[in-house]
Amino acid sequence: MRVWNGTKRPPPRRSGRLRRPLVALVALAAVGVLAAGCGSNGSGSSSGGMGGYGSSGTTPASGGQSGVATVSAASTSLGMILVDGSGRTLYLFEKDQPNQSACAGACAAAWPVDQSSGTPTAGSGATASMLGTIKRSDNTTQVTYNKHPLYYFQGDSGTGQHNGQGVDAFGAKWYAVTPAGGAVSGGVTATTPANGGGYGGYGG
Amino acid sequence: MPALDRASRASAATVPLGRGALARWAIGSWILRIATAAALGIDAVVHWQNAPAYDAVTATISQGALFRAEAVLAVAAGLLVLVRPRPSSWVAALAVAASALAAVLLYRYADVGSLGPLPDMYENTWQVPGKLLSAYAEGAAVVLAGLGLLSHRTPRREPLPPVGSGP
Repeated sequence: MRVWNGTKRPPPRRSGRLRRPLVALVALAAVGVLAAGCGSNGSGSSSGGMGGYGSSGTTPASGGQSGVATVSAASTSLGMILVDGSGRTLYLFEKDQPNQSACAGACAAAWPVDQSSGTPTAGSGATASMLGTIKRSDNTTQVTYNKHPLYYFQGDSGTGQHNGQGVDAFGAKWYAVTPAGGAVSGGVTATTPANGGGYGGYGG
Repeated sequence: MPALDRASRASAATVPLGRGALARWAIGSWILRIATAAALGIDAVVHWQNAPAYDAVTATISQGALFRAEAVLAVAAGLLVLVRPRPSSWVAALAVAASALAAVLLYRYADVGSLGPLPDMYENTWQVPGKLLSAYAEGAAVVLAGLGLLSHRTPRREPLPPVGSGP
């Protein structure tokens, strides 16, 4: 047993020894949190590694088209909007030019393009004359409607969802599309005449 | 027991310890350094790979350029804490990670528009590849770099008085 002289406070003998394992433990805990973050990143992301890196960025999140695309209109809380053959919401990107997509790479991973292997089909409520396709830089074919390239949103996990409505990402806003070929602005539809000259009609 | 490398000895230089304690210090130091560098590495990869998609978001400087700068700084800070674990290195790692975390949170939840030469980087979604992962990594790097910095502030232990030296 150690005997102290009673005039000085005993030095903190254990503090230094305790602190280092504590630092290591907290570091390991932080790594664990990081790993958990990796695991939880997959909310809505189906691409591999780094939350989608390494993918071409053009694969539909789920329920995407592998054949000829169908575009229909469906009644939702946003009003009538365009959906694909399985009922998934389709979006337009404010930054796109007519028949020209401004979304590639990480953008197209978050907003997978609506692909079609042939001339897309107009379903109920959609106007066939507004449908078209464009060739993307990666040689895939993207469906357009009233010259708007169409996309899905990774944040929509199934039919009837439109979580991408009004989202501001990659430098501009994203909107669901009305059967008239315009953007849905909030809960109000901003319509664009079917043949109403020029591109635009964004309600943003 | 791993051999004590020069950097670990340097970082433990302010704390006179026995051989066993020094080895434990070295292990803890390496875990901290590797974890911090890994977190910064994730941050760097995410920013570098996402940069091309943001080149069109521009003012005086583009968001893509800022992402590349962030990636380079994160790699540099990660290397610093690996090879030169001094307080200045931990401060650099902390600054890089904290600034990136602050930026991603600011632009996720506040539409502040363009700020000086910076473009409008508002993006009200986490649904961007790697964005959430990167934010987690930045948060982890902030904690780890803070711990690394604190580990250099361990008070010097005084030698124990000899047995029976009391009055």
